[in-house]
Amino acid sequence: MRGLDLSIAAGSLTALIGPSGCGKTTTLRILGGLDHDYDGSVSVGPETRIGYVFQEPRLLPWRSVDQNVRLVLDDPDAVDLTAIYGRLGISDMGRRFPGELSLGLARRVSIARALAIRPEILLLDEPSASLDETTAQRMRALILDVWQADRPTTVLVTHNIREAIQLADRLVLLAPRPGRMIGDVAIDRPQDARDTAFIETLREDLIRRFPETIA
Amino acid sequence: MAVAADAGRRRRGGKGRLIGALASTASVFVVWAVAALIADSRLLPTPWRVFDLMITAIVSGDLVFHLTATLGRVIAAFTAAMLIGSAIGLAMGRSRVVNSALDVWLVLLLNIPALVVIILAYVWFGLNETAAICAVALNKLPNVIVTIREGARALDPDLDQMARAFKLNWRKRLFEVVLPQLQPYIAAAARSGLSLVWKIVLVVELLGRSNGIGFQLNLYFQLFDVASILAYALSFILVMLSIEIFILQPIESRANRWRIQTR
Repeated sequence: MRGLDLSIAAGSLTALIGPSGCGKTTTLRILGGLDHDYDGSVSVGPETRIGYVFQEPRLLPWRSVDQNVRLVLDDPDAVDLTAIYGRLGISDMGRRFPGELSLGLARRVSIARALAIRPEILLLDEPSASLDETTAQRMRALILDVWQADRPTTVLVTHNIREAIQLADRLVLLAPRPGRMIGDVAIDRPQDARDTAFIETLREDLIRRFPETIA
Repeated sequence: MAVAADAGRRRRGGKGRLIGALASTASVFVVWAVAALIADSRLLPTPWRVFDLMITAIVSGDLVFHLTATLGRVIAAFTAAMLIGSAIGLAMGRSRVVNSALDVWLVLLLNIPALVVIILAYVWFGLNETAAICAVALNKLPNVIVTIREGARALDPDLDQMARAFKLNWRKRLFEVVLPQLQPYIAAAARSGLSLVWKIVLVVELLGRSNGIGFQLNLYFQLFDVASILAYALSFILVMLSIEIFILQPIESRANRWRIQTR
C-alpha cells in the first residue's frame, strides 16, 4: 500500500474497489484502528464511534443473537434495539445462537451489532461476499436502507463493481502491487434512481478507463 | 423435526449411560465381595464390614471431622492452583516473552516429585496449614498452566480483533470472549486436578498434619486396620464422585448449552 491520500466527507457512502491484494481490507483495518503498523496518519477522532462489519460475522457462538449485539454496548440493558432488529429483519432471532443462523442472517446480526453503538463511522468489509445473488441483493437494499436512515459516514469494501455503483456516492479505485489509488469517481445520481441501464453504462465506462482494476 | 429427534437420542443415551454406570459399580462390589469371602481374611474385609465401619465413624463424628479437614484443604489448594495456574497459563499462551521467561520454571515444577515439594514446604515453612496447602497447590500448578496455555494458544484471533474493533473493556474480553473459549481446557484441568489434588492432600496430611483422611489412614496403617482404611478412602471417593456429578457436570452442561442447540 503506497501513497493513499483520502479524505471522506461526513455522511457519505464511499466504496473502495479493487482486486484482491490491493489493500482494501488493510485500509479498512487502519481506519478501524485495528492495524497500527503503517507510516502515515489517520485523522479519526479518538472518541469517534466506529461500527465494524467484518467479512465473516465474528459473533460469539456461546452467546445468543441478542447478547452478541448487546455485548458491544456500554450499558447493555438501557438501549432499545427493536428498531434496528426490525430494519434488519431479525426481530424474532434474539434468542437463537449464531450456529443456528445462515451466513446471510449472521451477517445481518453483525450489522445490527455495528449499528447498536450508533456509529458515526460504519465500516463494511465485503458485505455480500459468499451470498447467493438474491440474498446479496437483499443485503445491498438493507445497507442502503440503514445508511439512508442515520447517515453514518460509511466505507464499503468490495470487489463487486456493480454493487459499488449501486450503493456508493463515491468510488475509490485501487490497484495492487503496490496497493495504490488510481481513480476517484463521484456518482451524483441518487441511489434510488440508479437502474440497471445506468449501472451497466457506468460500469463499461469504468472498465474502459481503469482496465487494470476492473476486469 | 431434526431437533426433536436429536433430543430423543440424547435422552436414550443418558439412560444407557446410567445403566452402564450402575452395572460397573455393581461389578466392583461383586468382585470385592467374592474375593473377600474366598480370602476370608482381616487383610481383605467384606464390603458390608467396611460400610458398617463407615456408619459407625459417621455416627461418632470422626469421619465427618476428618473429611471436612481434608475437603477444606482440597478446595483451598484446588482453587489456588486453578486461579493462579489459569492466569499464568493464559499469560504464557498469549505472550512469547512471558512464555520464554517462565518456561524453565514450568519444566522444573513439572518434573519435581510431589514428595520433594511437600518435604521442602514443611522444612522451609514449618508444619502448618499454609505450608500444606501451598505444597499441594504447587504440585497441581504446572499441570493447569500447561493445559490452559494450550487453550490460550488456540484462541480465535478473529474474535480478538472484533473485541478490539468495538473497544470492549478487559472485563468483557476476559469473561465473554476469552474464558468461554478456554472453557473446555479449564474443564479438563479441573477434572484431572481434583483427583490429583486429593491424592496429594492425603500425603501432606500423612507427613505433617494431625487431622484429615491422610492422618487417619496413617493411624490405621500402624494398627493394621484394613477395614478402616477402606472405609475412610471410600467415603472420600464418594464425596469426590458427588462433586463431579452434582457440581462439575451441571456447570459443564450449562456452559455447553450453545453447543447442544447447534449440533
